[in-house]
Parts: sequence; structure tokens; C-alpha cells
Amino acid sequence: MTVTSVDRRALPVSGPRALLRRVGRNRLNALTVTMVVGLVLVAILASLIAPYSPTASVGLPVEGPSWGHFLGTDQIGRDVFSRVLLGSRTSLYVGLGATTIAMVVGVPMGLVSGFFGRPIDTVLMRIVDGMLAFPPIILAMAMVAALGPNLRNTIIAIGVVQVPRFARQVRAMTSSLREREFVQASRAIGAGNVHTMAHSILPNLAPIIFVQFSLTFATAVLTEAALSFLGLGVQPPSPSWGAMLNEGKTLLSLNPWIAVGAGSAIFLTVLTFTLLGDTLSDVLNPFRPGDR
Amino acid sequence: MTRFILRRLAQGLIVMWMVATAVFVIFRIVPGDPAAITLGFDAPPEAYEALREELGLNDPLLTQYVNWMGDLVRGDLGTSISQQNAQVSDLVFPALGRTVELAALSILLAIVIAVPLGMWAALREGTWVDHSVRFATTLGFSMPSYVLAIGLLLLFADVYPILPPGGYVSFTEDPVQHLKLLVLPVVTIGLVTAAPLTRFMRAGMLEVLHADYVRTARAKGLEPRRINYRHAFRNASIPLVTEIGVSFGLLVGGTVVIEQIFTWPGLGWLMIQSILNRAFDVVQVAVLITAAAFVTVNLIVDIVHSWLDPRITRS
Repeated sequence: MTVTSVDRRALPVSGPRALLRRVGRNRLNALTVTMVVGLVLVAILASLIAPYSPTASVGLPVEGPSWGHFLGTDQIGRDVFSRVLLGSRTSLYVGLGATTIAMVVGVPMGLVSGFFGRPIDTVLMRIVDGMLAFPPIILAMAMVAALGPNLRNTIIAIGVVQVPRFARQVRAMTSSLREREFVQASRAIGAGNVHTMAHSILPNLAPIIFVQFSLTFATAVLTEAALSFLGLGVQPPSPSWGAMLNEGKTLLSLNPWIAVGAGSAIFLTVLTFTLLGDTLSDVLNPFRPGDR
Repeated sequence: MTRFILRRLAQGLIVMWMVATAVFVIFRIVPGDPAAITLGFDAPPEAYEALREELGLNDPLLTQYVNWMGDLVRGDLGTSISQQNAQVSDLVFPALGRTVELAALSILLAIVIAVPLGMWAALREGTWVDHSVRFATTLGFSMPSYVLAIGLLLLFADVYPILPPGGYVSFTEDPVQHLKLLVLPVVTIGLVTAAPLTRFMRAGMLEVLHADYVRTARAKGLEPRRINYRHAFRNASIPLVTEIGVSFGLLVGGTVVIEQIFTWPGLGWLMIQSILNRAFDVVQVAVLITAAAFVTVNLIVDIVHSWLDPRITRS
């Protein structure tokens, strides 16, 4: 079989360079990627950038902003700016851990459910329905309350609560891919179920999984901050934006910058990963009219 | 129609059973021993054993499960040992009422903001109006309600102290103060809920505006106002009803943090206080009631939706 003339421009271009080119096409996408990179760098380099240790008392309690302390100090004289910087580690760590759990459990669930159909589908989707019967934050709270509040359990609780998001979406996509010609072809030449799922279906799910990962990441950061705010998440003295927001609330009239600093950090992080979701769905969709 | 409703009711019951089971499972894997927690760890072993016996903790898990389900079916939510033997239902139901009040007012505010804003953006598609509305809703999506709450608290209870920072007074006791206390939490939740609703209204309206029957209405020369309201808005509002219902359902459980910030003694506040006091007998019922309210609201939404749009019943 010979292919004589293929109009290369008509084919969707893939590979890292093509993706980067598509990111650069749109200013908002470029800004988003910059924000993500910036955030990750801050988290990695936090202990180098931070002027003080996040857990040491380095000044008088509850001082307003000054040259020494950009955001002032908290109740026991710790530097708020340093704590906000180090808080990014907690946030991203929980976000990454929880989202990974949700993906690792949810994707196979949805894949198996959509690929085999009934009766496995019925059983798995009833479990998902049962989980969706709880408002997510309530389920996470109940689990943390039962398991005990600490970093590990917070990650587990948030991860489990987000499983239905992956399971549902992957299931819907899989059951429609199952009927497509290339899947039928793979089975016709004798590929087993596992091989078909791994080589024919999973690669086609990659874009929606990436997008879902980013959006779930934003939700996980949001939930971690909420749980820590309520005292059910990351425990002191570890710097967590949610816990800082709660401290800041009681010190609002003395040093509002504690709450403002932590609040802005949460807002920016959630915004960044929500925008990343948009960027990914824009960039990973190969058949866009403007791309030729 | 009746068959559809009956089927949905049956499904709702099954989901409720699953919810009750899930709550049982979550709270029976508590590593801490409820009896030891209630009595304190230096209690005499006889008292400790007696309490374990009374709580049924010595029974096999299956017996505990059957008793739990049996009590729920009879509507017996139990007494709270850690809360001086108060009836748990006396704690939970008044709190549920206060949460529903907060959620309902917030949804109302969200609708009042979202419907006109979404329509305006759709009718001015592609203009600066549209872009500003979309920008504002993107910000709203990423603004955590608790961050907004603290911001409003800082602004209106601290810098310009015109509103109380939080607390609760019953309506019958002092109506004015009751409403004043509601302003900040309602505005917080209302604004945050308005963002997705506005997006939804805009998208729904745009879809309808491009539909054939609207083009027909234009072609036959109907005045734009009549087209926009009679033909477009009415049809666009059907999915909106569902979306509003879903948001309301989410709020019944989602006001936890806001209730905590403004010390509004609703269900979420009760749940947190009980978790912090280790009153697990109250927590499990509060979690159960929240999920029940959530399932009920979703059920009502489905039925209302099928009534508005008869095509659903047949599919």
C-alpha cells in the first residue's frame, strides 16, 4: 500500500512542539501556562524565596505590613508572607495527591463500566450515584471526621470524593468509542479486551482526562482550603492557606493582610487551574478550524 | 407521568438506602472508640463496658446495621449521649430549617442577578457587554465563597461597620436584626451561585436565539421584544429551572463554611461543632439529613422538569 500525496497541512499536527505552538497562538493560553509555571516554581523554590522560616516566631505578634514583613506577622509573630509562600506547597501537594487518587480510581472504573456495559456498568454506576447523593464537601468532612484530621487523610478524603467526576466522564466517552470502527477493527484482528482498552480507547481519552485533571485539581485545592479553614484539614503548625484564612478572620481588624494574603493565594491558584482546564481543552483538541 | 414519578420515587428510596448504608460504614470505621471518647479515657472500666453495651457496640456489625436501619425506618434518630441525652432530631431539624432559609434567600438573589445579566449578555453577543459578563463570571467561578465572605466581612463589618459580623436571633424575637444578620451570608452565597447561573442563562438563551422558530418569528415581523421574551426566554428558562434546583440542592450542604464564618447555626454549623466536640451520634444524623435533603431536592427538580418538558417522561 502506498500513500502518494498527503496534504500535510490538513492533518492534525501532534507532538510537544505543535502543542506549544498552539499555546502561543492565544494570549490567554500563554498567560495561563506562565501562571502555572510560576506557581509550580514558587512551590518548589518556596523555602529559598521565603525571607523567614514559616514556623518560627520572628517578630512581634500581629504587626501590620512593613519592609521586614511584607504582609505583617500573625498571632505568634510568624512572618505571614513566608507562610503564604510555603502554603503553596501544601496546596499543590494535596491537589496533586487527591487528583491522582481520583484519576487512578475513577478512570479504570469508567473504562470498565463503559467498555463491558451491563451488568458491571449497573453495579459501578450505582456506587457512583450513591457517592453523588452527598454534597461533596459533606462527604469529605464526614470521611475526615471518621479517619482523623491530618494531611494524609485529607488527601484520601478529597480524592475519593472526586472519583465520580472521572468515572462518569470516562464511561460516557468509552461507551461511544466502543462502537467506532478502529475499536471494532482492533477486536476483529484478535486483540483482547485489555489490549483494546489500553491501546485503542485509552489514548483517545487522554485529552478529556487531562482537562478533567486540571479542573479537579482546582476543586481539590478549594476543598483542602475549606477543610483546613474548618480545622479538619492540614493541622498546625504546617502552613495552609485555609487555616491562615481562619486565623486571619479573628485578627481582621488588627492585621487584615493575613486573610487577604491567604485568600488571594487560594483565589489565584484556583483561577490558574480553572484556566488551565480551558487551555488544555483548547490545545488538545486537534480539529480546530484555526489550526490549519 | 404518574409512572415516571413512581419510578423516580423508587430510585430515590434506593439512593436513600445507599446513603444510610454509606453513613453507617463511614462512622463504624471510626478508629476512635465512641464510648471511650464520650466518657473520657480515665473512666472506670465498668462504666465503659456498660456504655458500650448500651450503645450496642458489642453486638455483631450486622446486628448494629439492622438496628440502625430499623431505627431510621421508624424515624427514630436517637438521643445524643455526648449532648446530655438531647433528642438528636431536636438539634438537627431546627438547624435544617435555618439552612434552608439561608439557601432559599441566596438562590433568590442569585436568580435576580443571573437571569437579567445572562439575557443581556446573550442579546448583545460578542460586544463589550458580553465580554464583561463572561469575564465577571470567570472570576466568580474561581472565587471561593469563603474568601468572598471574609472580604465582605472585612469591608462591611470592620472598615465600614454597618452590618453585624455574625450570629443568630430568631425572626420572632427581633425581625430587623434577623434580616441584618442574613445580609452578608446571603450576598456571599448569592454572588457565588450567580456566576454559573449567568453562564447557563447566557448559553441557553443563545441556543434558543439561533433556533429556527425564532428565525421564523423574526421573518414574520414580530417585534424584537416579543420574540426575546415570549419565544426565546420562555424556552431558555426550562433548563434553567433544573440548574437552579441543582444549585439549591448543593447549597443545602454547601453552606457549611459560610455558616461557620457568620456563626449562622444551620446544619453545617451543627455538623462542624459536633465533629469538633466528637459528638458522632449527632454528626452521622446531620450527614444523613443533608444527603436526604439533597436527594429530595433533586427528585423534586426531576419531577418539575418533566412537568415543564413532557418529552423527558417518554425518553
